[in-house]
Amino acid sequence: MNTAHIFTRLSFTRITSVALVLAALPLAGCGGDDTPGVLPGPAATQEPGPTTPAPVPTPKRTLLTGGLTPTRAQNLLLDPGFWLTEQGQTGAGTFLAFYASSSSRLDVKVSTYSDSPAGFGGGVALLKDPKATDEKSRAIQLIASFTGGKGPFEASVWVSSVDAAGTPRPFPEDGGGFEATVLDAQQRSSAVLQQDPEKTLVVGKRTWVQFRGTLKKDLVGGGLMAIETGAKGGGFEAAAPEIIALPTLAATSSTSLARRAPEVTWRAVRADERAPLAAYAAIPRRYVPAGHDDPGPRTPRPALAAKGAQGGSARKVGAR
Amino acid sequence: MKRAHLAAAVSAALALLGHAPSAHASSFDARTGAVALSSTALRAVSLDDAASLKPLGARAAKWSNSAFELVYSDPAPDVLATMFARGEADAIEGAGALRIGKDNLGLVFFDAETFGKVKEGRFEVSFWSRADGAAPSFVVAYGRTDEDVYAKNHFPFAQVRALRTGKQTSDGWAEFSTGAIDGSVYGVGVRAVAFVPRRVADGDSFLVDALEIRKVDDKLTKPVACTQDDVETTCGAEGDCMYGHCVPSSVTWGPLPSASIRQDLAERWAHIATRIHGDRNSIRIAKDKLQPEALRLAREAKSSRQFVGGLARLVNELRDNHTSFGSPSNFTYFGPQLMSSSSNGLGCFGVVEKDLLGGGAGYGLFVSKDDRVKVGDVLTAIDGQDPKAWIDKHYASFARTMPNDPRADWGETANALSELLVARARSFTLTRCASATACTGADRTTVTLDIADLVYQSILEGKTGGGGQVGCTARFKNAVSKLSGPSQSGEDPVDSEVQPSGEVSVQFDGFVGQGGWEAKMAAIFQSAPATVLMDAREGHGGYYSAIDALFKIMRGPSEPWGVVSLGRGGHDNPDPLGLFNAGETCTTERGSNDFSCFASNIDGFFSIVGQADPPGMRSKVAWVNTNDVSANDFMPKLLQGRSKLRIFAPHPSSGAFGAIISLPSLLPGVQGGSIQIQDSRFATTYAAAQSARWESGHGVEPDQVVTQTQSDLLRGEDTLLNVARAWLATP
Repeated sequence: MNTAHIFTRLSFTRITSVALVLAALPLAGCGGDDTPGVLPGPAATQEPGPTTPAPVPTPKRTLLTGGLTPTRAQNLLLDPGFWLTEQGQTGAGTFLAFYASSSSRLDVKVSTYSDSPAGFGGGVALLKDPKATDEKSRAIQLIASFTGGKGPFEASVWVSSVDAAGTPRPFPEDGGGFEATVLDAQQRSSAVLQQDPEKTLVVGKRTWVQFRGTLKKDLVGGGLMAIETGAKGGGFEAAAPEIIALPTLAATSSTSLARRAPEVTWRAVRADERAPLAAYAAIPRRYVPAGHDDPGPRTPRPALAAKGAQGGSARKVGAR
Repeated sequence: MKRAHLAAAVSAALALLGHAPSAHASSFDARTGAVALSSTALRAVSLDDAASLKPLGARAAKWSNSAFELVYSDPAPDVLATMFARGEADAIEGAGALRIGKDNLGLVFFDAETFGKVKEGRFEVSFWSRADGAAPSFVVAYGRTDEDVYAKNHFPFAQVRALRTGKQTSDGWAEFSTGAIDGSVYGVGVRAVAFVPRRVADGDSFLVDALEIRKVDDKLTKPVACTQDDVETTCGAEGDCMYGHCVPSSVTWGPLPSASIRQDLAERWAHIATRIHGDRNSIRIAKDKLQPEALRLAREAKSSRQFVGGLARLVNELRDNHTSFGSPSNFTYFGPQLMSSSSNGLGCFGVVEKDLLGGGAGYGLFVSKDDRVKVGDVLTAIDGQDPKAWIDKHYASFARTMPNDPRADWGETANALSELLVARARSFTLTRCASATACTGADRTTVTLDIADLVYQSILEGKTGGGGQVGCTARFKNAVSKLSGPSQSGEDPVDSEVQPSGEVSVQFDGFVGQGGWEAKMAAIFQSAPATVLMDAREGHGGYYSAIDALFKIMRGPSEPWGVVSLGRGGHDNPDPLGLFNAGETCTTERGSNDFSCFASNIDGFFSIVGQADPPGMRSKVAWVNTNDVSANDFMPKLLQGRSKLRIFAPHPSSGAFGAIISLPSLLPGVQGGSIQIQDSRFATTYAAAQSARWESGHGVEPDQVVTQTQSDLLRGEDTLLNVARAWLATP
């Protein structure tokens, strides 16, 4: 039985609407957790106990409202769906992957798994060293810059674990070396997101866990999210990263009603983290107009009928 | 009975949630967690196995690796059988589902029987899909023959994609729909619906189930004559006006997204434009206009023209040449936006001074191979109105981006004018003078082309191609006699030659250049030629490093100047106190690659006082501008004020002073969006820049306003080059 309930960017308001209208329906999991893309976890969808009468079969799936993007509209990360990463784009705001040891770039495979926390609204980034074994791998950093400003901020990312062959596996109890951090522009310290034990979802063969945290300070001069695999083998899949400046959420927003993420812990920025950051910063900026790059093929506009230059006679030319 | 109540309740709930209005008949049964096919659909396909494909006229197809075309095949039954998933969770209706992705192979359904039934009315295609690594690829293709469905050298006459309706399940299934779409466009019916993936990685696929084709109503959009001014009343809320005739906006801007997706898209654009964008002028416009208007459109729009087209227009009205809503991936005649600066079989226009017609700026024909029009003709009406007034009203609806400084619209719209006339005007009038000296009485004639009827006729006759394409530029004549193509490294060409007068003429379009480009520029100025003409009239920008390099070649510290470009200080306030505190080191070579500079989006450079002036400082330089954007804004701004340098142009440059970054696709089927993430200040020093103004929105003013005259056009003379050279020749 699939007990996970995942969809894309469900708002509390919408859940409430569903709950009001469908109050009598066996629609499990309409709680008040507004975490993007996620309905309450397995606890809300327990199978009936042995003494519970079961007048109708337990539905294997429930109907939800899907949103456009994998995270809330107020996300300061430009590309939480990793679409630009998939296209090989570079530039401020795009997630780019580097080997931590050499700061050389790594192409990231991005796939759409609609049963993931990103739903149809975003991709899932596979962070795996092609030479990885199940025990050892080169550490990879996936990083993106974002606009800073007035805090506090709430940061989160969903992650699942894969083995060296890319096959989903249970999320390691010790984290498997995975770490998600947020840095400010001055790189004085890293805010480490914590795995939220209440945010674990088992979907098919994948176990998704959420790392999240609240940064109770301003981020002067911008910030950066770093998702790091560590070197303990296998790899990770990341989905729906989000940085929300809480002041941007209206007081009536559903988020204000939600359980806040725990405060982050802070540690010094490690020396080996700086090389990928420098490589990210070395990306040349572009000063070209929008649409400068060919948007793709398109059929030409239709011909002008019976062109005079081609001997046609259907001219509609005349002196006025 | 109980199930009926349940379905009704679900339906009512979904209506409250704002799902796309449609004639959905397939229904999700909350009790069983399954979808039931409609009994009233024209075609309802379970997609349980290969046998279910039989009535659909299915053919296998994959995208060619080398061309934009489908390669068709007739798969063996055993291959078809492998395309169906039969796992317990792999279907939302029945016992199986179609799995697309293996070997990039897809299916195209040429269901002539069903499409024949809907040709005179509207219909809807819906299906359910789950992405198991790949998002579904789907299109409804219109055409006269089956070949029109992307066979070699063919494009569909029109096409429509499907969007998620908002109905989604807890295990990753979502309903997709085209919404109500016309069974034919300009009399051309639907040929096929296709599920063909593009570049799916090994192991990735998507499932398709519960495919339905349903008749909606008989409200076919009639191709009656229309104009951009009367589209709402003539074509209706759901219509668009292209080629002077009404067309359903589903084939131009795509399906109308559901209410919830409209709300999401409007909120995301409002957030990006007000809290991430760097152009201070655009941020202000976004707060005043885009934010409230986008949310209003999301609530009230009745069609994709109104919503998607309306939102694209609002983004254009941010007035930033680095900012774009993106473009619908529409490979047909009905791509709604202006895509290319080409002649479109008509010709190329440029900005002219109407000296033979009483004066004032206008659009003159620079190039044409069509004998109905003539070089030197001046556009005097579009749909019976003043051309600039018509363009000011409508260009924002169809452009992909717009100049920051509205005074720069002339150059950009001149380049786009041919396509604009062909695609969106009903008629236009040219005024023709017999010669450069005779333009009164019988020597002045007008020529009116009912272009919409001409193009529409061409469409009905099935003619393809644009009738000859010439790339349009702002130049009437080139400054050099021999032009090179782009280098293998992708750098912009820099062409130069020495004129008999001794003047070194340089023609280049932009600053997409690194080592090779910089070396060419350095070589030109190394010997400090007495006079140099820099023809940059078609300036498409480039790299900061190239600007910096040319600045150091052409302007020395004896006349100090410089620039700092900064991102916004924060999402809450673009210009907080202390914005400039940490940026000074970023404008030095030492600090320019610091991470903090990158994270804060700070770049810049200033003259290094004490260093010797470069040889190029001694050259007298005429800089010629017209349609110039971004890096081509920065460079003249950095040179302006230098002794022995004058900028000649018909109007200011665009005024786009910042770096561009790409946006991901925010709406499926729309690609290529972007924003500017900086704004810039110019001054003699970093400290002085702190009290300078933000420059975006202020194009570089020409030192001498010069416009191509109509009389020179008729003489075959390039006015800007002549005036610039005359100035260079003066002592």
